Amino acid sequence: MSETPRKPSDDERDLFSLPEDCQDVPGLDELVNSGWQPESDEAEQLMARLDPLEALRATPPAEDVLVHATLARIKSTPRAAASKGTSPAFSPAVDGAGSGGFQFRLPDLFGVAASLLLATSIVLALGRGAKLHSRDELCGANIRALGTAVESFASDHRREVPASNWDVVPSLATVRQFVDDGYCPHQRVNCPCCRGEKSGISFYSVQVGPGRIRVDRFDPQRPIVGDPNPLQVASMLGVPAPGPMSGALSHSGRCSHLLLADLSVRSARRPVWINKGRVDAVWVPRGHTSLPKFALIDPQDVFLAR
Amino acid sequence: MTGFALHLPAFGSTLGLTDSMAHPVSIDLQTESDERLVKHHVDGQAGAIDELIRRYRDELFGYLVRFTGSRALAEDVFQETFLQIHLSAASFDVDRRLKPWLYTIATNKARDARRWLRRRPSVSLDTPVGGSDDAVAMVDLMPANGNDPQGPLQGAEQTNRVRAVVDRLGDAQREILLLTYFQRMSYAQVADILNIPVGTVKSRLHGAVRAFGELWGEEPEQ
Repeated sequence: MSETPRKPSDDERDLFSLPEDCQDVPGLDELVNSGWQPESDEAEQLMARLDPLEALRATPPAEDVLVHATLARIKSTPRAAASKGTSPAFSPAVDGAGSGGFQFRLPDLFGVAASLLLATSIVLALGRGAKLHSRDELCGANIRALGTAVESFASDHRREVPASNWDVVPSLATVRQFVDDGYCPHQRVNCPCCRGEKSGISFYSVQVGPGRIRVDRFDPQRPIVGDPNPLQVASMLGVPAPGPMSGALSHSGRCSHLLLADLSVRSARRPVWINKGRVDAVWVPRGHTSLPKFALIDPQDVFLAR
Repeated sequence: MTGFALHLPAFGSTLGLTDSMAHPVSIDLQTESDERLVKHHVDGQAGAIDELIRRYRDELFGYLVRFTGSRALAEDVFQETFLQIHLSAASFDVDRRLKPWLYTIATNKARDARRWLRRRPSVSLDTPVGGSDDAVAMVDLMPANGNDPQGPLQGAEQTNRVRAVVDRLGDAQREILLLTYFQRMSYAQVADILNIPVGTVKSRLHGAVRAFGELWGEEPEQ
């Protein structure tokens, strides 16, 4: 099978001309050293062999317009600014003669990497902050919607609302009822901060229990809705405790809003983290050393935090 | 002699003397060396770079035409070369000679230009315009400057054939052949320009001459 010989590249041609592979051309050194004035026969013969090169001797002169254009470019290119970043059409490639090309050094690389890292962290922090802010806004809207639902329900039911065992509204069932009966405009009233919880079911509940209660009986500043840990939020806001026991055990998100009995919404400046499965704080009623199953709320109860 | 004469205010104006007391310093740029012209250009003296270009315009342009094989490309490289001289003038050591530096820049620019041209497809002027059989070529649509097309035809054909052979040499061999044969430079000068040992210059030139002879011998018509 015959193979077509591959055309050698420029670099390969260069390799072919290494000194060890090269045989001297007789008379060439004499010509170069004498300014191409042949004195020997060998030089004469070599000149004759190179005679075809004379066809390239005549070249067109550089026109005035080229010189003017060159000078115009030079005069429009300040040296100080250009030496920092001007990139001619072709790469400068001036070997050891004041090259104007890009030269990256290791500190430059570190600087660029550090700048990129800083910019990325800033962008991520801003994005995370925006996400939390939007969740916080949605949580507040949910709380307000529940307050409107409580008020609407109470208006339709002689100022009574379904109550929990602890006389705190709304219960989990109440929220469902609010939604089902159309009192709550939001179909999803679960706190957006509670990731992983069942969607569509509100966790804005503190306690659950049967019966009805008149909303007028509540202390206007008493929290009646909060999530996930109304105890901590109430403590942080300096308002009365919502109940003797928080439902924070199953809540994993963060929330900073409370709906008070006067249907106003209070917000903490910073969200409250509640770890899922942990009791972060409990209310122990006065006179008790351990948490009873049922107890009445008293503002004088002791707040214990782990 | 009409050359570039520069009139500079002496220190008088900065010392608070009157204009009439200041003695202008006149520099005849035509008598200045190449290296001093670069120094004058760095110092902001107008006309220095003009004089430098005037001295080397035809010599350098001819070298670039032979190197690139294209007048248009040579014009681009010519501009880029002197622009680079202008940009790097401050780093030039006036104790060294300018010519090797100039040719170093020009050679590197021309080498880059040839590579740049090879990476971009070009359309020959002989490409037929239109799809019919008797379509004219693009070159036929261009205005001609010559008076007698028959006269230089044979010479142009010979030039093209020689240029084709020279182009078949590698960049390394071609630039040494052009610098020594046409620019009449010594081995040491070429070594200085290309920043390679003299022995390498010598071996490459021998290789280039031998390769040229062989390739020219392969040409069908001589």
